[in-house]
Amino acid sequence: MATISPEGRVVMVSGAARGLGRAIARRLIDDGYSVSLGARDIDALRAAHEGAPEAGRLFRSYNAVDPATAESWVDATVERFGRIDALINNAGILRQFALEDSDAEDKLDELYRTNVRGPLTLTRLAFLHLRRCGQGRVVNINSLSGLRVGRDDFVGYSMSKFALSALSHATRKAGFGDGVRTTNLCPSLMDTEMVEALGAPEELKIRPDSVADMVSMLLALPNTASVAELPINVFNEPGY
Amino acid sequence: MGDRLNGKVAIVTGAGASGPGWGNGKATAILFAREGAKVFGVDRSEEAVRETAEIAKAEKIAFTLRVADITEPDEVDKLVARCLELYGRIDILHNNVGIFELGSLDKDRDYFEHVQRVNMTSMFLMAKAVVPQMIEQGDGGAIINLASVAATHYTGAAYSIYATTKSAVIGFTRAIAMENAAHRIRCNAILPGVVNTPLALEPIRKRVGADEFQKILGERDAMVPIGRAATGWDVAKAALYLASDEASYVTATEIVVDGGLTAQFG
Repeated sequence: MATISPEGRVVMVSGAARGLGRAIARRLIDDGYSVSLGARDIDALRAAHEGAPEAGRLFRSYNAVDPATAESWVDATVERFGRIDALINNAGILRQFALEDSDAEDKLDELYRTNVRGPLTLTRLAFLHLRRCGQGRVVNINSLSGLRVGRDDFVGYSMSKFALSALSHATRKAGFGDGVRTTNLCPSLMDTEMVEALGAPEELKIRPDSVADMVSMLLALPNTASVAELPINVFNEPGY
Repeated sequence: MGDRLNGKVAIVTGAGASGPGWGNGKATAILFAREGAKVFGVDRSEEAVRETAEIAKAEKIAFTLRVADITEPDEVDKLVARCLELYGRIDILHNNVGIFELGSLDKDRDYFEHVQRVNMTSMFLMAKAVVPQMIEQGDGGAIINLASVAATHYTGAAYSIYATTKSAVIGFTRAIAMENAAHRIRCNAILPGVVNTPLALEPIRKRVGADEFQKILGERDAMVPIGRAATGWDVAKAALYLASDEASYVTATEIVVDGGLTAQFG
């Protein structure tokens, strides 16, 4: 077999109620994975996945700024399925400020809490289970802003996403010996609710389904094919 | 891997060993985690507790380390808050921290108060921070305090100061147990005898030559009716029982883990 079968594997997806997280969750359900989905608004989460087969699904309230919800979500996942095979750190927020804005520090704290501390806590709590299964996968939904600084008002967003890149590579190194493969997945502008406010035309945004396909592929690759980083462009940018 | 503590969150103080090998706290922390507990291991020495964390990592069992001086109220409050932030609850408090010090009327007040602080004040502060949380959780809890047979028996060594702290542990244990029995918070003490832990052996090893050290090890074994000194694991296994639901009717008492040592004295 060139790929690992989804059968019996359990995947946690954070921020699965909307945008890219919803697309990833749907794709993984279609693939046949058992999914444990977390989001702030549990009703929106259920509504987003209505009609999907009941078996092999768990919905939990998860707020990236509240580590206790990370713990209870990880616990509930292990209690229900007995294992965790993959973690998709998808939950993230966008806050814009430029270098000279007076609210820079406050917005940076907010970005770090969700985009950096959130994935750190989830990874740490799930790591034991990912290591135990011998072929764990972590996909950190990052951004091209985690690899280069783009817009002037993305100072804090980029800082938080660079930090997430560091977490991705640290996770890859820490888990490699136990078969945990980690990918720093870095799409450019996507067609999701989060970036709606930026007002870019649809044809200049990546479709969430395209990224969900890539996540599906990353989970299926065997231990012998580790993808450390995956930048995804929509524009022709110098360097990327 | 067992399941006797599945789903429970345990704070173990003194979770690092003070030298090479297995101390009571290190063995207990690892045993609790092997039995399914999420262990929040505290030690004043980062080096010591990190070694315990490395063992847990290799065994793929749940252990989080925390460096703190638990004779300081601020540090105790912070570590308990951190444990709650991470795990949302505390089911087991294993008060293992303690130092063994020879010395009696030859010592001064500062020394006496130092040993009190490490061996007794630390337990008071930990219980003070954890018990209200256990009450709030509403489904009981288990507290285990490490005392010693020195609390009840004179075993031939001059350690009145150490004995005072360990007698205090027994009184404290019974009082905390009774004050909180209605909340189903159980509190018990363990009284180890001769235990070959790094804490007990390293000072001897540093003082004497290798041959002399082997001779002392032989003497320690010979002192005990059962024919051997205890290890940290003997203490850890008693702690596991007291921490588990198997001991749900056991409170305000002591378990002597001494291989028959004190029974000889009547």
